[in-house]
Amino acid sequence: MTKKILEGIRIAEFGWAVVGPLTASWAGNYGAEVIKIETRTRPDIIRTMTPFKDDRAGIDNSLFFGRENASKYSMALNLKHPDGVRLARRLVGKCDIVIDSYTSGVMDKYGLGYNDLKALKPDIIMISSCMFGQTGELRSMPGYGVTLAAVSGITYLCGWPDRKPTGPYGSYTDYLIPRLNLLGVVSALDYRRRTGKGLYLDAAQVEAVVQFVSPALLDYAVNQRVAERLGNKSPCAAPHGVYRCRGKDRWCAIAVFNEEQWRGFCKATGGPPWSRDERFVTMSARKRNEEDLNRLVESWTYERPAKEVMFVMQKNGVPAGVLNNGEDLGHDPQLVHDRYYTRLEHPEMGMVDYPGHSIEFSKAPQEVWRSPCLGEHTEYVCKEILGLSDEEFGHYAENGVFD
Amino acid sequence: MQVIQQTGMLAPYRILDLTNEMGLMCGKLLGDLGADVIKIEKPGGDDARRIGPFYRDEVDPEKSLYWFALNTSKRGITLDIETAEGKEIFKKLVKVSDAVVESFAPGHMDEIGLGYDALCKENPDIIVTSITPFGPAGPYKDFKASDITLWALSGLSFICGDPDRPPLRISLPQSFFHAGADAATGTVMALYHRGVSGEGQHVHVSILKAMERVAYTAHTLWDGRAKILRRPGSALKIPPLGTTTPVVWSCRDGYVAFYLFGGNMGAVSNPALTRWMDEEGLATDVMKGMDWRKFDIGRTPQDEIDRHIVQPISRFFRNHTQEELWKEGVRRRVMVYPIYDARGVLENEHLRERRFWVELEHSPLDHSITYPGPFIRTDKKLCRVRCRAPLIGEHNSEIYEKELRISRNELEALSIAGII
Repeated sequence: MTKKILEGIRIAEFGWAVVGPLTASWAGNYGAEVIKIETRTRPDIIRTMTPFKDDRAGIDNSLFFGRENASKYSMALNLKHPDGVRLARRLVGKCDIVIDSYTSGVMDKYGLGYNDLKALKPDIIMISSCMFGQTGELRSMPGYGVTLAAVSGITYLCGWPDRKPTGPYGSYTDYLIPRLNLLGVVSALDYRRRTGKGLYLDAAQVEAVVQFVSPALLDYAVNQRVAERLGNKSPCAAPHGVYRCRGKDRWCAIAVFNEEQWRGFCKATGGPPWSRDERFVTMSARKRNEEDLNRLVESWTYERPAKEVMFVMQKNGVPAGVLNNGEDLGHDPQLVHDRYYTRLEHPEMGMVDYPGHSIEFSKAPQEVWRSPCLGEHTEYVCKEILGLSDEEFGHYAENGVFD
Repeated sequence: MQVIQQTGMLAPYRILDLTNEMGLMCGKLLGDLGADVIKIEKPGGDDARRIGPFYRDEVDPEKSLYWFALNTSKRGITLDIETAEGKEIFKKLVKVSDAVVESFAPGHMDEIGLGYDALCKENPDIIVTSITPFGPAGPYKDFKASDITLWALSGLSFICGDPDRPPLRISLPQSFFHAGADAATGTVMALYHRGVSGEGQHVHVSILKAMERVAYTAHTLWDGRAKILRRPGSALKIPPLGTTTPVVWSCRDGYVAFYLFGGNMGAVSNPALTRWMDEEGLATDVMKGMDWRKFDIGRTPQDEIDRHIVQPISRFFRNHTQEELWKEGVRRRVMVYPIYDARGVLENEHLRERRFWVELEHSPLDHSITYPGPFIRTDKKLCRVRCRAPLIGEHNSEIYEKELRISRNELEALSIAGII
């Protein structure tokens, strides 16, 4: 089999929460050797976050941490200890890429800023990804995914027009930014391959997120129109929504974008009298009478299981999809077919489903391996990568460098 | 016709962009990174040009702001790749390109004789990136999909929205952007791999998989705890008591986002917020006496938290404007963030201070338009939004005549036949 895409590339991750760790984890899926630097003195916050396996809180038991930290090693290293920084610098000297998702200025304070690391290894690639970037008055302002979605224009656009914004679930932006960060990193890697030059990437998270709002931003810039939240409506489709189906909290999404799909929809529903009503004959008529239409659509879906609704719609060429919940995802026929979740044994958590990433290469498949326990690979990294002797390793351990 | 500067991290590469709405983001990002991205549209223009909003609300394929936003830093030609002559021209382009990005239904490129294997005959180390809703194979392969049905199947819709209303999506379609970004990454990784190993390959991106990741711990919670994560609305419910506190709050002129963390995260904002409220006589004794590091929302009864903490904070926020809360919050390190609408995003001082926005000249409209700048910064601007989206067939002459050396007569014949 061909080598994995990023085989031979070593990454030091100075990550925290989701953005940095997930960027590194995806690189790990494609063959990069990722070493996460963390410390027991101040553990990565998501090691302390729910859900925990069997509800047993513990540093190696967070399923949330596990999900975002597959395919990497963990090295415990206390950067408050001068020898900790010394070892970190030695490690960076053997790395290709440094991923930093701390608050702006933290790496500099440790003596691990780009200029420090560049002196050590001139062609190092480093990405720093914090809320607001490395310049500007807000550069060290703390925040997290929920607040970032708010300031980037995402939250305002998720909700019902007659209510305050709802916002997407949790830290939506944490699953957007790593995609663009990984894109930046692999582009820099190819740039280095061709030119021999390293690069520093200033990744302001807010500047990544607003890329996903750009049509609405242009609408304001040109037309001075503020895009409003629309519930589940679409300006150019009807019916378009999430419709209640038979059973508790069961739903199916249906989207009709043109007359051909509307004819399919009518056929799928068996052509009830209302489907021939002149209030619904054209797209513009359906848009005008959308509330009535939605009630009628739901009166039809409500009598049927969500899956049946999806299949009969699809059979007639209408975009439709059931709303999978967390349990359903494990049985979803497409995800099962794709072996999207890999079931792996973790020493503390037992058998755990790990999701993959969305990219598959025909000649170099991705491989997901389980998340590490804190400091699980400290000795390996020290001896095999840094070349420390048993005595040196023991000496550092006794002095609390790995705490 | 505009001339595009050749700089950037991906400057040596030429990429043919055949995508529809599902994949436009991919080529945009590759173009911003410096690749020569050629958007190939069918004669008359891509369907995505019909997506609004429109410049001054004039419905016109040359005035779609959606199209503008997703096609910066690209050149554009027209070509009907379904015709025999069109296919031959496309194959000529493939010979001098590094990658092809497409988002047709699975198998379509094979059906028209332009599948990965056929393109390898033209250019053995070509990279083809395919963006599809469900990947190239499997039970849902031929399902029709749109943004809302992908939110549904990915598990994301189920956890978004208010508990008393149907589950929700974001009103501006997002799934194609997530997958488009991943497709750009996959393309660059394949280019890098080709640089190292000499071989090209076929890259597949599944929009469903990209979106499952956004659905957070929905499946993980089921897998590890046998619990179903349900939509909490704009509030979070914390076990074991199920105490609920808001994430979205009203202020005097809009909304702000603030979450009352417990533990270490709570210790960042809560003490400073309490002092701030106390200056205005609104902090309660419970707030003033609280050891915020030990504060545990899930073990505080709902009526207590409402009476002593949530309602006072709510009153305090309502006394202030969004900008007051944000500015003073920054000064005091209280994480109370504005919920900006499009205007708020465009007018915020930080992005101006960072010189983020770029003005792109739209000479045909006699107007320049403000665009979001690069998604990432390097010191030599190796990622930058280089130019506006192409007009329909804007670079036909440049690419067909100068680069492929097709004669003008031949071009005219192709144009009359409706191929270009």
